[in-house]
Amino acid sequence: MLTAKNILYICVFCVFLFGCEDPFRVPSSESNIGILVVEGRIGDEETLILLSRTANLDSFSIKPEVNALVQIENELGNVVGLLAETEAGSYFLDTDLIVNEKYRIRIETNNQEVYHSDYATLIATPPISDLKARVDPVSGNIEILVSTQDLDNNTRYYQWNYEETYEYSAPYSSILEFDGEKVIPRDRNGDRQITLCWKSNNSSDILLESSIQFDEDVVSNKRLVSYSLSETFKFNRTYSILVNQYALSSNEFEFWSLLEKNSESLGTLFDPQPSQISTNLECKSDPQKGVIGYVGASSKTQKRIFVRNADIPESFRNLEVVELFCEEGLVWMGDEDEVVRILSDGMYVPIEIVPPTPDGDIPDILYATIFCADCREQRGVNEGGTNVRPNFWF
Amino acid sequence: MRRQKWIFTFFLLYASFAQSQNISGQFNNTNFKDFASQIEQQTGWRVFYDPELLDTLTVTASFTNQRVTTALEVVFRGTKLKANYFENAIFVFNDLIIQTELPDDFLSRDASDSAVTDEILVDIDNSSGSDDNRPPLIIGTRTSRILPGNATVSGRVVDKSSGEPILGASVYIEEPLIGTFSDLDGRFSLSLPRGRQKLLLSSVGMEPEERMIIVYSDGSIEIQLEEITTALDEVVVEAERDDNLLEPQMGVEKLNIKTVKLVPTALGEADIVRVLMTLPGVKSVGEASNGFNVRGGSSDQNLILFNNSTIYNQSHLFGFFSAFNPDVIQNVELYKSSIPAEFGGRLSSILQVNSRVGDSTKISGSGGIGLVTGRITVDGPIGDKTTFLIGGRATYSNWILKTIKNEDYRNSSGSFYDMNVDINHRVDDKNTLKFYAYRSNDSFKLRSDTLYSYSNNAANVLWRRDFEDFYTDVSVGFSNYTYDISSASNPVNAFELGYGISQVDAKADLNYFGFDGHSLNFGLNTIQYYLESGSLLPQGEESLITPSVLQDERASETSLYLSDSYEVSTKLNVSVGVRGTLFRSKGPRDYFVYAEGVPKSDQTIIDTVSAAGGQLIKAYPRPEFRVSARYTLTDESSVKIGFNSMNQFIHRMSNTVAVSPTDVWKLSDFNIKPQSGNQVSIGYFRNFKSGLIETSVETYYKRIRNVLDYKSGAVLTMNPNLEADLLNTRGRAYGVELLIKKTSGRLNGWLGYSYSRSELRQDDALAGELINDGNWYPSNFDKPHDFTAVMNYKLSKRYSISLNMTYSTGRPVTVPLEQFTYARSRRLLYSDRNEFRVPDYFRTDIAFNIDGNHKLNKPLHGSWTIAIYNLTGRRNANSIYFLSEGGGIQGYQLSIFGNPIPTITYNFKF
Repeated sequence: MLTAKNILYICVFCVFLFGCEDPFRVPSSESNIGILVVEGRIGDEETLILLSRTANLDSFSIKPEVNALVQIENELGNVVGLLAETEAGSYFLDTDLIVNEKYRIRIETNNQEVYHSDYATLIATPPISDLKARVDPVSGNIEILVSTQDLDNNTRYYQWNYEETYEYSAPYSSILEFDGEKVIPRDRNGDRQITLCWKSNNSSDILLESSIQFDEDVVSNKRLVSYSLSETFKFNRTYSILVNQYALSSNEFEFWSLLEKNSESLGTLFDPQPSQISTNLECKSDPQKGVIGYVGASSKTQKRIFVRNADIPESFRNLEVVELFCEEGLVWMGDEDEVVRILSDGMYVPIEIVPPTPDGDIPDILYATIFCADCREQRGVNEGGTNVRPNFWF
Repeated sequence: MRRQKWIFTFFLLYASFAQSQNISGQFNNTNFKDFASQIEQQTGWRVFYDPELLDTLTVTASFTNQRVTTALEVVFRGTKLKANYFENAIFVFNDLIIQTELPDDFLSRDASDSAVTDEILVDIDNSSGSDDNRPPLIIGTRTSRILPGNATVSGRVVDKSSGEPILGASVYIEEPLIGTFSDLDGRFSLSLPRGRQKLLLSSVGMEPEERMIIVYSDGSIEIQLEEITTALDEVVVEAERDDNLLEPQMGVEKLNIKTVKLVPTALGEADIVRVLMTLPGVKSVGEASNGFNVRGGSSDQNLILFNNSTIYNQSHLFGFFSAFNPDVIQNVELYKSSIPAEFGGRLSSILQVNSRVGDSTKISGSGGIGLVTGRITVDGPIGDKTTFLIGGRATYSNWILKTIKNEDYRNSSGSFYDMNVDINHRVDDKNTLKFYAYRSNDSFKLRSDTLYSYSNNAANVLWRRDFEDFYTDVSVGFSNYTYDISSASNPVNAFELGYGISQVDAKADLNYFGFDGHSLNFGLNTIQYYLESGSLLPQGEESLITPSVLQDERASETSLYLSDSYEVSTKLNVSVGVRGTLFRSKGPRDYFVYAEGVPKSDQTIIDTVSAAGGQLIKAYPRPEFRVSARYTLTDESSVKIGFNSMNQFIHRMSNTVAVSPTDVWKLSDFNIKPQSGNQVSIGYFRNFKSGLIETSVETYYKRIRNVLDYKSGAVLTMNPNLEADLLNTRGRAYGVELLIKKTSGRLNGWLGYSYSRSELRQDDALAGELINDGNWYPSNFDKPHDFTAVMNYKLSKRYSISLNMTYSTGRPVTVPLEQFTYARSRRLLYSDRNEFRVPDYFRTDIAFNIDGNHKLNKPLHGSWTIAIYNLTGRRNANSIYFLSEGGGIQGYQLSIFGNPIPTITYNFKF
């Protein structure tokens, strides 16, 4: 509701007129303290804990903490599960845990530091009652809104993350492929097709809401994403979003709010001073040692929706954002050497056969630049798409 | 008949006149004035005469040890002039017939009563010719002999043309050096040696005045000062010459609005607060913040009094304008260290903003048109005894918003205005009534979504009554500040958040001059506070917001004060003040009692106590002491020391670096103790070139207790147990301030430098979290080095250039040191609080002032100011911040005015 962001607007209003924002380099810090960072949540079905170390500002690498022993303990201090390191710094366990029981994480690092989280009650998360897309009438942005409700009125604090997937296409629809020697028809149903691709992104914002000021434990139309015109290309074909919802304890909510304040809204003089972030972990082997993170416990509820391009009026979509400079050409099918010469280095992809003119005898092959023919090869916003239809896609 | 008595008295005395004074000298066509001064020099007597009567008389004579009486007889031979001798004075009259009979009532008169009436005084005054030859003003009841010792001279300084009182005029005599300043009503009081004195008066924008006075006993006078005739010759800083040496107080800054108007500003509007910030010891955290910090105190530690009414938010447009219309203001006074006992309730400073008194001779007006604001003020008389002044100012900034190529801004709107109505009514010679009313309002709608509005309202009535040796002021006032934020864009979340603080205050104040050498001030001041601490209400049927209303707060703050400024000797002045304040937090209210020895939190509440309406919850009696002394070393230098202790019972809750309009004020209560502080200061003041150049060095040390700081993640709005999110910290501030002022001439202005520190410490682990491991850390506005130059150079009568340069150390910030990844984004681990600083601040502004021609009969006198703010375009970092954007972290420094900002303003007078 009333946030520092609104006030930021006021300040930025004047900056618009006269002011400037310049990049600022932090005075170089020699102390690379390397504090352990613990991220994750104990879940009712699965638990994923990520361990890493802080790094100085210049290094862009994440420093995963490998070879640590990560366990879940119940209130009696018994180990109920041992997490396996599935990839560097990522520890996973898919054991069922009991809602309303208390659990904690115990970590023993490779260099014999021992950390405990505080015991947390595993909270049952209510289901998502509504998830929808709409065009905001004021801004014209396309928004995804989530609603939920706890009829027992005792959840109160919520967090979301999401994975969005959208479909996009290549400008040319290739029905041919080059097998290294000759041009053959393309299988357009399996993973050989290169015209349609899907790109997925995970949420990077901290999405929180509390219903503490409401009588009822209701979250109504919490905005998860808001895309301005430059990003609405995601809705040019079909868009899908899977939203995960988690219940939080009040302390955990506070932790996340603080984290959000510290790194997402430090805009102006009117924002609060950054403050030391609380944690529910401590280093047992060396109480002086800092640690970052909060390990809560709650179940997860999910909901997925699809947004078809027909659902969004065209005027709110920007069809022109993905700009490709396509080259195309024709090669006479009969000149096999020329066909190999053009297609063998992979720069061009055969598209289709152009029927011969009435007086010709052998048709030409239309070919085009690979990033215009193969959707996987697009760069920019669509970089990293896959031509494999996701299994949840219709 | 009365005149006869007077003359008769002379006559009687004449017989017993032991005439033994002689005069020598050669006079050749000497005018009488010079001859008279020869008499005065050689005999020590005074010669009084009407210059018109004697301006044609020349003296050609030679005297050798000639008796004065004889000499004058010689000189007056052949004229109708007669000399009359009275005590050690000679009066010259034309054709005076001396009465030889006793008046009828002579025998019934008290034999000791040799009084003369004031009528004669008036006669003499009216006969004044050129300035130099005006007869002296007689003060008190004329007696046959001038008694030894001091008498209290009180009076009033007024503008000759408009009859308006002149505030801050310096009134002094040079030998011995004794002086003071006129107050808000032009009043002053001095304890002067009896006898003949030369009284000097000066004030900004007025012709300096010298008047001879003869002090017989306590009495009062009214002195008129004339405005400097050519407005073109105004100077930026007019000398209140020798003020700095004479006044017993230290750390007092006075600014006249004319000074303020010549200093260039960012948006072309004269701004008193901005100009105050150019003086040593006054700082701010940045450009977009109208809160200011005095000697290391936070911005809520300044009491802002606009015509005696407390103003809780002194800014418009989130700090880009001050809430005071420059056309309405007469002057401002800022007390940084020697705070008079009549003021209290804030730790750092008292800022008095005084508006003009309406013109008592004719209807006149003034106004201005700038890029985003327009203003107009009209003042004048209503009948003989009443004057009025009405001023208004409003913005038309919406057009700027509309030009911004960003939909969010185009859908926003903003406006502000302020209004003043002042009425001054002289009931009779002894009684004056003053009425002030003020309102300011800001209203912003952002992105067609959230509507912010806030406003100040204040009204005040003051009754001034004059008595022989004292005067009294009784005033009753009201002031209030409210804000309101509402949003209706999402019907389910539609809300309205309101907050309000109101106070009703009354003050009775008495100034007494009856004791020789003493100037006493005592009074009673009481404030009743009513706070609507916050309400969050749903709007519309669909809204699910739970109505929540915080409990109102009630309290009273009653103070009794007494101070005495005592002229111990001609060199030493000592002022001592005592102020006792009783703050009472009152019901109705339910309040929490927390367990002792553990940090306050939801979990440590051990009891909830209900206090009924009016019931005392907690009383804080607090005595305060104010001591200052001045010792005059030489005619051009003095040294001063001061000590003060202060308490503050109302606190602004702000978790942001700058003052924001949505900050809430909170009263001390059961759980929140008053802030208290004390300060010692020493200053050396030295003038050069008879006061043309003033210099001073002041140093101070200040300690503050129970400053409020906030726990990490504190929630300050709508928090029913706010105290659990607060920390009590200690503060200290110290510094040295240097100031050099050149007060007049073609080039004038000032240079100020200060070295100052302001630090806080939270080392009580039981209070909650430690900040920076319990070590001292710099406050947000700790800027050790600060240099400012404000200069004005007159190119010609109509053109002048003003230049303003400011350098200061960058303010402290907390910066990130380490990064880590959390929730898929890069996050930051922050340094200790305020461990680093933004880059140093440097800015130059220039203004070119063009006055229209000065034909008197023009109906409208206009002037133009063309200014460039931040001439060098230096991108001064206002704040530094870091954003995680799409998974990465980027640091930015934000500069509010990162380019040269040209403005043009047209001002007019009619």
